[in-house]
Amino acid sequence: MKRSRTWALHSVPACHARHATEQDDAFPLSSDVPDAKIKLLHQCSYALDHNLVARSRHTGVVGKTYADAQADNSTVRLTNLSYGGTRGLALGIGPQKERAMPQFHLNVFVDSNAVDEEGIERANLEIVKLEAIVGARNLVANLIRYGKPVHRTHRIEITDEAGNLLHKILFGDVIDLRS
Amino acid sequence: MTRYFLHLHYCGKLIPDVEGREFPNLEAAVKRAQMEARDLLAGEVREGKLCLGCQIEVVEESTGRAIIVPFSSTVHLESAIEEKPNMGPA
Repeated sequence: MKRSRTWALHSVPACHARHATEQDDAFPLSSDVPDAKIKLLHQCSYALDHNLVARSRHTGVVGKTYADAQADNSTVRLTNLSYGGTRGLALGIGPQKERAMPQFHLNVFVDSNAVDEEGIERANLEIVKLEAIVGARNLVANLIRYGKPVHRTHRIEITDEAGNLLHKILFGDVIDLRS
Repeated sequence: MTRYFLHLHYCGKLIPDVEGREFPNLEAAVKRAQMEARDLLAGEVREGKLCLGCQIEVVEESTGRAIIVPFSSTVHLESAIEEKPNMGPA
């Protein structure tokens, strides 16, 4: 992980998302967590209005809320993640600064489409592709688990900040089907 | 309640259910088998594979009656390339 990444990720159990406080940080995740461990499921608009807290990785300051971060134009990233066997909601707030890395958007096209408005910053497209594959597999796994139909043509589209399509991950392409 | 055995035939291996479980009827036992099959498949998919050749054999203890639940019957894969009008970004 590059030093330029400034996310400070703190896990908040999804069930407590509405009332998250510092003590809900069962296991703080720093930016040193390998990308592979952060399984991007989808951008979670669910918690946009919630008063989640985050701690600056560098200053240790606690208490900046999502609303604060929006107000002062800090960079914010909100994802579902799975790490160490625990699932949770993670909020990352970075300082106001110019982006060191390009921004990518992962738009999910399934029965209910989800446009990724927040985007993620990654060093290059290859890393984003890997995350999108993990995300697509998780989505398919959940569909199967709940007996819902899986459309091979459903997909995650990766776009750049200007909305240009960079790559398409079809659900049918991320699984090795055997009979 | 009747006892049913859910034997798993998983990628060429037989994993017998030696204890069995009680269900009110065969339908409930089959439903359970379908759920377990989907759970196993979901785990596989997270690793990037999907093996639909496996199955669970549901055996009723009292009668010996058996029903096969193929994994393929628990998943709805749709390959029809039918783009929906609202699929693209706005």
